[in-house]
Amino acid sequence: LNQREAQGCIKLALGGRRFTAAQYFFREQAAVERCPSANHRLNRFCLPHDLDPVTKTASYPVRNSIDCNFRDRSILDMEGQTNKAVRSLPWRMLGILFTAIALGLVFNSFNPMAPSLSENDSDSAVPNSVSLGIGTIPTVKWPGVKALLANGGLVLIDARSFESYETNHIPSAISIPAEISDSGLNLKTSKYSRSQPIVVYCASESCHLSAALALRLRQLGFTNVQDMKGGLAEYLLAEQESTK
Amino acid sequence: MKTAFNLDLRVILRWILGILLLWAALSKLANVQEFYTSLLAYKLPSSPILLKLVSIVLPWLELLCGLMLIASIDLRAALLWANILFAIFAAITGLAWARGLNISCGCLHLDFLGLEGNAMGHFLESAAFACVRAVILCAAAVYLFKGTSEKTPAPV
Repeated sequence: LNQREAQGCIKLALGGRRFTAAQYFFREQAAVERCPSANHRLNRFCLPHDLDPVTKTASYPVRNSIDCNFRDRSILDMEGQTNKAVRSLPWRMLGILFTAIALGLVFNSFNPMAPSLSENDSDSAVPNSVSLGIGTIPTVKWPGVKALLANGGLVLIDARSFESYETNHIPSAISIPAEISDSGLNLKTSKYSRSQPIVVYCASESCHLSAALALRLRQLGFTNVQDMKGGLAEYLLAEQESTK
Repeated sequence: MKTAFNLDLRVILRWILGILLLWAALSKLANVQEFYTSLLAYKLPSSPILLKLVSIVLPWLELLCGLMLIASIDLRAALLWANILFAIFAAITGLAWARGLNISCGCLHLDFLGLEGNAMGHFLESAAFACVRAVILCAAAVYLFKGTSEKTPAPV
């Protein structure tokens, strides 16, 4: 193995300008397989402890190069290249951010309960009824609910979990979680007449708990049940707009 | 002088930050809609679509940073992200505190501790406590970041 061939092996071992620990070992192994006689010399240059445990990248082992056959200009140049191989911090941070964005978007597309980026909670183009296959519930927007609340006589129901209700809810709303049992629902609604105007809401446009609960209320005999499709998000956005 | 205690303190702090970030991420991922409505409750001057994007991406950013801190992977990048996140949390919760908003910070789920809904739970979820907590965590992340160079081996 002459010097030129050995340098080729080392270049093969080091690969490109950037490499991870796994790539490093893979390339080193590939170089050893191609040039078995270079094994000893490669080990001088590519010892595992020369991997930076923080960045998981290789730093060139200068201390071993003193007794090395390849101590020439090209190897020193290679050392400089390897130092450049440590990717800069902003790029690594961008990598983390893009990974988070990709994971978030993928998770969101498979999660029916996640907020949809294509929907606008304050959009006026919300359909005026929502169909659940076994029934249709009329929908209402926050301004309509606000007017009904101002007039009095409206029962506003938060269909989310009680913990979510405790965290944040529309003032004057009562909590009836959508997963409540039939007997529990009967008990909670027994004091209202069947013609009582009721509006049900949950978190936002993507949430279907309110429609499900509204349908159950309809099945119990309540005739004036509406679904505030935009949910708590619509209320919060509307209130934010009104305070500007 | 660097002592074993210093190294241990760093490891402990890093693990605390990592676990808190993981806890926060999983709390948000368990109910992304709730997190979105929590963000809306801050009444920030930003578009709903941006808040939706934040509610979708932020939990994953926290999850990645938390895992990287615990596994000691690319610590400088993870710590710098943690710094940025805690600084933003401190600013936003501080703003909510200053404006007197009576909201839940939407940071951590406490229900498995049996604190959800009671006075202690309300205090821990309050904007004021969240702000103080974020400032302390930000300081810890800065301390760790300053002590972690590109070449410094991190104790596992």
